[in-house]
Amino acid sequence: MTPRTSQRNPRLNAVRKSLERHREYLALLQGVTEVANESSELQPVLAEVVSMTCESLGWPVGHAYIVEDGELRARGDWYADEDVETTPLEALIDRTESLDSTPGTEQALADAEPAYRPVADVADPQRQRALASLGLSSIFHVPIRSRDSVVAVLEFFAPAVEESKLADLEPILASISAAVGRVAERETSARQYRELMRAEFDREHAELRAAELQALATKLRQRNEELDQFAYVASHDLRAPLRGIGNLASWIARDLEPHLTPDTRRYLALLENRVQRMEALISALLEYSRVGRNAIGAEDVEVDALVREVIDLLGSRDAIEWIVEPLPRIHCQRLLLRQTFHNLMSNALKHASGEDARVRISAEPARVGRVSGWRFAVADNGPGIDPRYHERIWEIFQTLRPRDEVEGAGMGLSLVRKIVETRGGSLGLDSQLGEGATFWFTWPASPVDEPAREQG
Amino acid sequence: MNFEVFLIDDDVVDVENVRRALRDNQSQLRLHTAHDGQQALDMLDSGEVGTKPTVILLDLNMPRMSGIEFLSEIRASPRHCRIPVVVLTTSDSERDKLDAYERNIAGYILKPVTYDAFVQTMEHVLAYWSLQEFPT
Repeated sequence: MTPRTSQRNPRLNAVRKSLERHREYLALLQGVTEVANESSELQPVLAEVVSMTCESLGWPVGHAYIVEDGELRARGDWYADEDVETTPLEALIDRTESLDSTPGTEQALADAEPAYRPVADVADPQRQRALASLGLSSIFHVPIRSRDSVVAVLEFFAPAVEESKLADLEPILASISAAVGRVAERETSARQYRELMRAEFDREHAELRAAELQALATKLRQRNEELDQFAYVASHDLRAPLRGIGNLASWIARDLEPHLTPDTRRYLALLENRVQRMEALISALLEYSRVGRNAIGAEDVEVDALVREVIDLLGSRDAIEWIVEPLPRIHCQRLLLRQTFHNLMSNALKHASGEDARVRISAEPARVGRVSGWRFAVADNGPGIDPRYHERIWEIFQTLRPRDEVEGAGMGLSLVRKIVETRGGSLGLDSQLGEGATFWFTWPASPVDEPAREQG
Repeated sequence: MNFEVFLIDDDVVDVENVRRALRDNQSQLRLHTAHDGQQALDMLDSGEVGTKPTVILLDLNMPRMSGIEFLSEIRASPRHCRIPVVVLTTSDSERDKLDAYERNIAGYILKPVTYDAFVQTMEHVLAYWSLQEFPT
């Protein structure tokens, strides 16, 4: 276009100018559309569209906000003409803006339509001054929509724009908004697809994990059963040769009786004694393995009567006072509860001491796991147990005193632990050296139904 | 009548136990022993035992031929099927008891043998022979 032609016919000149402007608009829209079609990622598209728009429309400054959690967040990359120093402005437009601190953005978000605002509307005087000093008096906001929500806003600062041009700009900016919006939608779809795949993967993973756990639990149960089976068979098979040894020792003792010396007689007595001890250990082991094997039906049990029965059975010692506090009536597997009391009470009887040897049996309601139940306690006034042994006493074949001093297989407490824990209860010991010992255990009042297992 | 006891057991000490029990009881019963089912079967077939009124004391868990296998064999044999058998074992399992009783045993005694149970069972078995005519 040369000045000469423009002077010839003003109308023609105006049309030419208008066409030129529209050609540029078309170039911009074509560029934006191409960028939008090429990418499924919103952020790089925003940067390029900002710079294309600024260049094409001759606007010196532009940038983009991303909407995150209902807040506008200014992206770092600004477009600015070479001769425009935007640093102070960038500093003012904080990286995070609330929706209402930037006039127009709020409107843009609400309407999801491109909007124009004069700088004079800016509430923040500092920002107003910064814009004025750069000769910028117009602000354009172009919201980018994905589905029903605004995900980004483009913001442009420009010198004064003529009214007539504003009308032209409106459809251009709307087209840009729509084109970039398609990218945002594609991005959202892709993300949702990934999330869906991820959820599907997680679900499959969780199912797999549950199956693994199930298999592990089954395996563990099998192992426990095998272990019980092993203990049963092993102790059963240990018995036969031991009985042979016992028989042979007694025959030798009988047949050689006239020829025995005091020493050999004592040796044979010791041999038989050791055989008996071994028998007791094996019996205890058998009994221990049977706890897991026998399914015994539940019945209503007067715990008080049960405890007094045990006292009758144990009460060979006169110098002991049994104190039985009120005990409940519960629905449970009688033999197992009785065995538990028997073992704890005979243990207490062994250790209660002094002129006023006492054993106290008590009960109080308690939670047992998720069901209700009782907490029973058997307390003696014996020498007590050093806390450092409290863990050890529950182990199999442990006694804290020499075997010849206290006769026992060292199995009683292990058996108690196995019985109580198999019922889902817990147990413990409260004791200090010199202050007696209180063994307690919890017992569900109505045991959970277990599938009855075959007795081997 | 002249009774015989045929003890089939692989445990020497258990055999000795029965021998001593009979001896201590001043029993007139004659004791024969075999240490597995196959040997016992051979002895019966050769006529070494079983030609007089006999009671068999049978262990179950033995090498070569188990007690149950031995029982099946003699119950199928026309010659030996009427010999009363008392099982003498450490096995308390229901399976073994069932298997044994299905093969028509005269008693099932658990080791260790108590003298009472042993003598009682022997008396029952002897009463059987006094009611039966021994096949010759």
